[in-house]
Amino acid sequence: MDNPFRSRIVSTPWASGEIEVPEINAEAFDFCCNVLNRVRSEKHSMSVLLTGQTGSGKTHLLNRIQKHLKTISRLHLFLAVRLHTSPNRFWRHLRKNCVESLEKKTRNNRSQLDLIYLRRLFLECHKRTIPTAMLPDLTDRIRLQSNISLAMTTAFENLIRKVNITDTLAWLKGYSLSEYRLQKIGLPPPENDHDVFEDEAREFITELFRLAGDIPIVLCFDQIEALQRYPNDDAGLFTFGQAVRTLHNETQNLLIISCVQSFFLGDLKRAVMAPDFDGMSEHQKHLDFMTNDQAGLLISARLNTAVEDENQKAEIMKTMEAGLPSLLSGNRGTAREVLTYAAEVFDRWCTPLHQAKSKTLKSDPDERFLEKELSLREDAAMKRMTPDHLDEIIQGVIPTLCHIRNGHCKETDGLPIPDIDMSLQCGEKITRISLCNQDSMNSLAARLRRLMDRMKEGEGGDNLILIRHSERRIPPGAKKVNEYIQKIKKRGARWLTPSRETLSVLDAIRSLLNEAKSGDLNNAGQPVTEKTVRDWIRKASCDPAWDFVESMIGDTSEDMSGRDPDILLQLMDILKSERIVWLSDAAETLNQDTRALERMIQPGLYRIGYLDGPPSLLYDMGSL
Amino acid sequence: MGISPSDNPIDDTRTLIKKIINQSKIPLSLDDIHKRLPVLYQTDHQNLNRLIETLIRDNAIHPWPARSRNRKPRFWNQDMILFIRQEILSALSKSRRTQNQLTDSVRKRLFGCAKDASIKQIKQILNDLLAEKRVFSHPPIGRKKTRFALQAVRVGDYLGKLLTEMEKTCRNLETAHVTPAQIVAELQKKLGLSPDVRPQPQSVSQPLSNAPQPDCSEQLLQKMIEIEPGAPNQVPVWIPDLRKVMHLSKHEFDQAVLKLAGDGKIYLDRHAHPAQLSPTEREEMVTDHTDACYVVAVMRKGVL
Repeated sequence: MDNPFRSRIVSTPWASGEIEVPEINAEAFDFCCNVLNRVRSEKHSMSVLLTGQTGSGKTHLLNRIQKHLKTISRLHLFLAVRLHTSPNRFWRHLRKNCVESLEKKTRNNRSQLDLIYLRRLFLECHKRTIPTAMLPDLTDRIRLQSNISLAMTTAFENLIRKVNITDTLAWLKGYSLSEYRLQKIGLPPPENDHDVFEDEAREFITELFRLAGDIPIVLCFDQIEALQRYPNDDAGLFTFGQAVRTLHNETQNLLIISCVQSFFLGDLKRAVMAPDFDGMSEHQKHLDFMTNDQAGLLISARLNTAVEDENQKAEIMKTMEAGLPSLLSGNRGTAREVLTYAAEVFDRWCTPLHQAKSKTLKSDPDERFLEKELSLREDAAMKRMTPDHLDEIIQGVIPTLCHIRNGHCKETDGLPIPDIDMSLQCGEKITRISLCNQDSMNSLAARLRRLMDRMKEGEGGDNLILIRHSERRIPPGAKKVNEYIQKIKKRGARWLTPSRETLSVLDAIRSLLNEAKSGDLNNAGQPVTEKTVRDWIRKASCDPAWDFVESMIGDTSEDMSGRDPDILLQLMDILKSERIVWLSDAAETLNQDTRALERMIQPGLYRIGYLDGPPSLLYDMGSL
Repeated sequence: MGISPSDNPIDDTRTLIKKIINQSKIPLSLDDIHKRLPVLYQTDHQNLNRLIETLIRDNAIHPWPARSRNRKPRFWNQDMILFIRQEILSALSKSRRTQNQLTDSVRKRLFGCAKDASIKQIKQILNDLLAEKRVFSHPPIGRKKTRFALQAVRVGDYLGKLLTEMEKTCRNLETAHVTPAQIVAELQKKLGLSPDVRPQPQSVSQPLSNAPQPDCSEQLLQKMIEIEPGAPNQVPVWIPDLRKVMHLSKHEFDQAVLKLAGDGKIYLDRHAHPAQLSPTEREEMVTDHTDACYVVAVMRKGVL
């Protein structure tokens, strides 16, 4: 018999299959619904700040609101954004997450995206079937009324016609597309100027909300704590505050719900300007502790899914209810605490009666738990990883990892530098990072040319790093791009191409850290703190991740060739004949520095196996 | 291409030494380290010592004293002082201990370090913890010895005889129609305490103090509304903000807030990860005898 109390965390407002107990947080639920009604009737945006202790049910409440909106006759949109991002790409993160939320299916198995546009079309002509010939005229009217760009309406037309859906969605999310794909979908490329990326994303979002017309939109922000890259980092929270106020002021149909842990309230208030805090907390609601009755209902609802025999159910309920008054006394009693307690009682009840085996979950030590979690998340990331994810991963986790590695290393948050996506300051040294992950060769060439021009003017190549996904190969035919890359490397800049494996580890680390920060990382009921995760990461052997971080903030006085595919191919040839070779011998044969070669090697990518030494050993993974 | 050693054997040896020490569960002497080095990297003790010194300078490893009856110094990746601190706190988290019980328990976990030096070190660190108020000294009761604990002293534990005498006196004076309240008032006068100060009722979550506290409940509730006008509607109030406007000592403020919670007028949310707080941040929160750290106060419905 599975323990029905083991799953205690609702990780996303989109989770399905959650057991509902309407009495829990009923007041907060009704409160949010009432505010939503006011948004609809008064036609102006409002905000709710939801606070509560870890495990009090904030995400669960959002999940409930999301399901409720599907059942009511009036059309609403529901967007949920987990703030696992850096302050420097906040709006792009918001754009991507909003589009992903709108992709979700709602009533009649239509996505929210489809419903937005179909409804606007219907309101213009009041016909159930719209002839294709009418579309241009209707589109023009929509554009004029709501100041919508041609690109936006073209994208939506593609979606409702079910033409080039994948590329259109990629465009809507702000991903980089090649010239060929852009031409296919009839959409323009993004602006080439880095300064504009965030502005462009902000305008896109407000335009999207205008397109929704008078459909009320519930926009939920969860895991706000993840905006801190390191302790006492305020930049992300400040940006968040400004963003919420912008959304509040520039829209008329939004209900913005922000969820924050009680312990984080002070940090949020400190980091955000007073008017911005007022903007996000127009209404505030705190999630109460549970009462005995509510706890009983929760336990009963879970038990019903696992135990059929009424007598057994009654017996277990009696045992569990006996301990509830003591559990819920003295400032305790979140839903998670009740479920943790119930899980333990259930396990104890199963064991002495020699019932069908209960899958008793004994907690591993935190280190073992984190190892397992990292591995699981890494596998999941590998499956869903695309080259488009590189930017958000690098910007989302590298500053934090660098800080864990070297406590003096932080991302600088000054005025943005054109074409520089991140600047890391470690002591006196500043490393500038430019994400050159564009699929479009024209965009990439333009960026590289600008970077080269700036290097000419003396803006140092020594500490410049260019990063591109290893699977986004540059075709030999892209002559200008190849030429610029060679020139930039000659001037001292480094060209890094992290593999899918490296990015998966980085993404998994990012996910662990963000969940720990938000209080959602649990080891068999016990919370795993951010500090525990940071300390573990510092000592753990996440080699691809640390190698990558080291290649960014390590000593650059050596000749760092970056990842040269030619050298790696030569190495693979050596391994085909030798099978096993000392790293030092391989470096000597290839006329490379041993450490530089070591950094170039990505275990598994080029089928080169690596055994840490000293002395280090390489082997041909194809021979296994 | 044959098998050959690395280009830089000294660096490799240093790395290996660090690895061996990091992987060890106990401090290691030079001999221990030497035995665990691969043959190819074994070197004489003088070299080994030199490499270890560089590692100590880089703070990668820490020196540990020799085992008793053995003068060979040892090395580990954990700093001994921090280790002892953790051991003391861990021992006291289980129960109160006398000094001897504590030093014995911690000394057993110091991997055979010389007795006198260990005891001296443990006492020194215990004094530091007392000064930092991480550990509290509980005066002896009766013939028992002074004990140490992670919680402040419980006054109730010391009132045994006093209570017995008090009960006896109350029974004696009952026939003369003297109430216990009158006896307490007279006692206060004799002790030179203000007649307005009344002893506060104990609640489970309150740490106890030696002197009765003035009742600040109403003032606290009013200040909550001043800081957060929505407080009567269960809008949370950040406790450090409330502390700033109350102008009470830490102990008085904490007591007052815990009393309000005990009386059912407010409830308190705990910090999810109090161990991550710096000492300054902890000072700003309300803590109780269970070491829970409360960050936010929420007024219950119908209080005002």
